[in-house]
Amino acid sequence: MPDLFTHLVAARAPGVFIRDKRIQALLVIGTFMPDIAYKGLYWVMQTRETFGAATHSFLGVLLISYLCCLFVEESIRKPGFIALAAGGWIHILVDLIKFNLGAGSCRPLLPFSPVGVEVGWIDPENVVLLIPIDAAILAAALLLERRFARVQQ
Amino acid sequence: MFSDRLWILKAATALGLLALLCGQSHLQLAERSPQVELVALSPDSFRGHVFHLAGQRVVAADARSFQIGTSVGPLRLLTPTPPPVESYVTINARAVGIRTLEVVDLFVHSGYAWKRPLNYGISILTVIGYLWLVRRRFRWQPQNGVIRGRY
Repeated sequence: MPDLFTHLVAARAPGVFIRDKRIQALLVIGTFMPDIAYKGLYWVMQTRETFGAATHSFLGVLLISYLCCLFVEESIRKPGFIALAAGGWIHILVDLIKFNLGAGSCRPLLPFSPVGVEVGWIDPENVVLLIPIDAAILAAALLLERRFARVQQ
Repeated sequence: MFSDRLWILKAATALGLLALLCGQSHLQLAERSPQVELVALSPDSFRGHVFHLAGQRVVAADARSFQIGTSVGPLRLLTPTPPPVESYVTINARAVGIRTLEVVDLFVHSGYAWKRPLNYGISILTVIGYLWLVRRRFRWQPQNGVIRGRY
């Protein structure tokens, strides 16, 4: 799995275009959720890897996001759900870059298709080496966000 | 769907559907990708089946094969280019006999032993750090059962 800092940056960079800071935070939290759900099932509930695979599917992300959005207040629940789901789908897209010998880095179409999908650009263990690049992208995104804020003022 | 009405029922339904999805997916995947340990327990049933094994530690190696550890003991993998002992590999391998598979594809991960813990460490710090940073955007009100926005 790519580290969650890479996932954070992948969601936070487009997040500069979201004005509501709470929705922006939910977009980033949404990108954490598939791994938190998967590792929770695997480590805490002691399930097999195949049981948690659906946490990295489009449908699984929708259900996790809906469950999570019920914990935020009613007035922002709908946009919160959309932000959480968008974050989860960004997570799946980022995971697809991993190389897994053609077996697929995740199965986004479960339960309709169990076929694994991958783009296969990078050894999953080497994603951690992208952190300096991630940090540079995050810094650029935060700078851009400040400029937008100044222009709007 | 997004109102507070019947909140607990909605949460239970979402959780139930998620469990159903995970269970259904598990059944599909277990049939498509059975556990490699079955090669040791029932070799004839799985002869010719290609298994995918990710992040496996090499416990022994010789000129024509190497071994990985499993919950039912070591499995032997035949290959003309065995990786060094203690390295971590991802493999596609075809079952050819009792506790024996033939490697179809092999990938050796460099630095797995330090990169994986670093990945987990960074991930845990990222989640804790980010939630700490955005905590002021929300108010935690467990007595009401929801996290409320501050604005």
